[in-house]
Amino acid sequence: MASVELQGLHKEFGNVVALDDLDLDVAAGEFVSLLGPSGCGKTTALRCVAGFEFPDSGEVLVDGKDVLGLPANKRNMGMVFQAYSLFPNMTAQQNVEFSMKIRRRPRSERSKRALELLELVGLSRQAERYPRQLSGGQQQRVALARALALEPAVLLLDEPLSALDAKVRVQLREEVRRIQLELGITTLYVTHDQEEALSVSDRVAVLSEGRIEQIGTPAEVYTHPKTSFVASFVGTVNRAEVTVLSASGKTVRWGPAVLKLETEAFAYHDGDAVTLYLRPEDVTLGLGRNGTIPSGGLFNGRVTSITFLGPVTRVSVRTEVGPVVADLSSAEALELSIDSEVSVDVAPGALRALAS
Amino acid sequence: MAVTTAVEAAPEPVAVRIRAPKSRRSWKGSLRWLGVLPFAAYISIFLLIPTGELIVDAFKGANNNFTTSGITAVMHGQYLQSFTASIELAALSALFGGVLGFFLATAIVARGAPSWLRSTMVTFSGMAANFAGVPLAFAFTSTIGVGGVITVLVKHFGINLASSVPLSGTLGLALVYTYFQFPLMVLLVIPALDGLKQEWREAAENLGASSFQYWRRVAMPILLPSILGAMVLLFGGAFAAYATAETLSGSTGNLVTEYIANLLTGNIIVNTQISYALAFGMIVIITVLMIFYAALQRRANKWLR
Repeated sequence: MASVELQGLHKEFGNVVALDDLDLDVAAGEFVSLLGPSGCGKTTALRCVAGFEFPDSGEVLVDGKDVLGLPANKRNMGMVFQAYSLFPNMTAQQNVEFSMKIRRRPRSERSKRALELLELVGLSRQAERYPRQLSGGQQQRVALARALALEPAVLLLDEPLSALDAKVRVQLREEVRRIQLELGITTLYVTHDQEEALSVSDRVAVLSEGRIEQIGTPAEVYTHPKTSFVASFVGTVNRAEVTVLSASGKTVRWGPAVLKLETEAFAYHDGDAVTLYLRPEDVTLGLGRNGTIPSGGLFNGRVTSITFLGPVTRVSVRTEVGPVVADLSSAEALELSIDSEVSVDVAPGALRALAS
Repeated sequence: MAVTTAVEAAPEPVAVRIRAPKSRRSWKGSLRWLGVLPFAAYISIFLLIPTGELIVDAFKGANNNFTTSGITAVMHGQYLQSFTASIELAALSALFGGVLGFFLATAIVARGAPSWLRSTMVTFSGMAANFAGVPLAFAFTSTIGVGGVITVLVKHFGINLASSVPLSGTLGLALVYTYFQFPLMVLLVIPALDGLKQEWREAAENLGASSFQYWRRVAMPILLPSILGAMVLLFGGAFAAYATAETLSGSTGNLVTEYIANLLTGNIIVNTQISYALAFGMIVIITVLMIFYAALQRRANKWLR
């Protein structure tokens, strides 16, 4: 186990700033995901750690020692790539043994360790198969076993599941987490899939334009986004431009409704324009009985679309303040149909206000 | 709370025959092979029919009787030596051209190589691979031939280029052939080098391999079938070449192709049966090469797919 620190990492490709003085601390044994859209610099950061890119300035410290002077083959880091990267001329077992063969480990030791690792990823029966005889998910499992063969100080995963189908992706991400916990290996995981990042990480670092917008536990990042980018990128969100009515009273006006925000920090002034963020699962819809217009909500609206997502159903409502999206349990949503008149309400404490 | 699950009997499967709709598209699709008809006709008229005729003639005696005397004759003496000389020359030039072309292609596709280098070299290779025959022979004669510019120049430094590597000898001819062999190798091997994934190199590095170890354990085993396949083609090209060697060696030439030409034109003696038998021998060798090449291609496609 080793800690990893990125200090002031800066990298430019021509006129494009890929990393903008990026700082990140990863504790020994921690699983940290770098989450962000394409081009945000997450893969560049990972490649700088691996030794495949060299930053223009900054430091990469592993257990306090700068590793930027070391070539990739001397950094003792295991990496799993986005594209399938198994050597096609070797069997699964030979792929896992590769690093040990390079280090001239005895054949018996290599074989034993490779089979142990294949067992760990659930592929001991496929040891003699060539990559072309394995599915995408199996290939990435072998790649993971191969990356772990030399007990690396740090495990680097560069969108390893992005080429897999949805079901395998979910299954494999859970296995990655299980193995990481079992081995206690420090892990940096790059992904653009928020669900993936939130489900497996100890902490998630949300990147935008080469910088970390927010880093925290999955729950912190999801429920308390610090910037509008994080609020918009992580999960689905309703946005509304509102005006501060009373800064001391923490009240804002959203259309006809006056809302009191239950937040500790409220650094705005009366009349400031702020953006309200509201998760769909924090919106409740009330259905009128016998054709009557429902009452008790913040505003009324009409259902414009109903999308079944399995356990939840996403309902879009057109209101006087604009469209509002609500996630209801699918059982609740059965009562609704297109054009149903509903009242819209929000859960207390669910509203987040960020500077517009 | 009790949970009950209703289980219904699964309905019997019903066989439904679905007839594919007749569409104009499928009708058109079935006629697509017509596109290759001109090529097939061309190959049949100018390759298959002459080859068949040649094979028949190789076993035909003076009275149109079946005989193996021609075949037996070319398996001995000067004719056998001509095969040996042709194979030696083809192998040597394939080796020179193959090695040189491979290293050049590797430099062209290397990470960080300027993009203009690739386009320039591919264009040059396309031209140089077709530069053969009398013009090529002249180019070498005028530079490193007996009275060539470079031969005269290095003579001042005490080096006798013309006598150390005569252009009409096997080594000299191999050097001349290398001029069109290595560009051909560049063109043939670049697609294989492009097929090497960057992730393989990075994965190897990440797993502790040096550049040499990556080439030895990953890249070369993957590329080897493609390299050998390309070299088989180079061998075949050199084995069947005639004009360059004939221009440089004249009547002293002892390659199979030169013997065939001499026997057909009556330069030495007219003996068409022997020339057919020699040509049949060449067909056998080229066929073996093609089988070998096809096997190597299958292997290469397996790794690089």
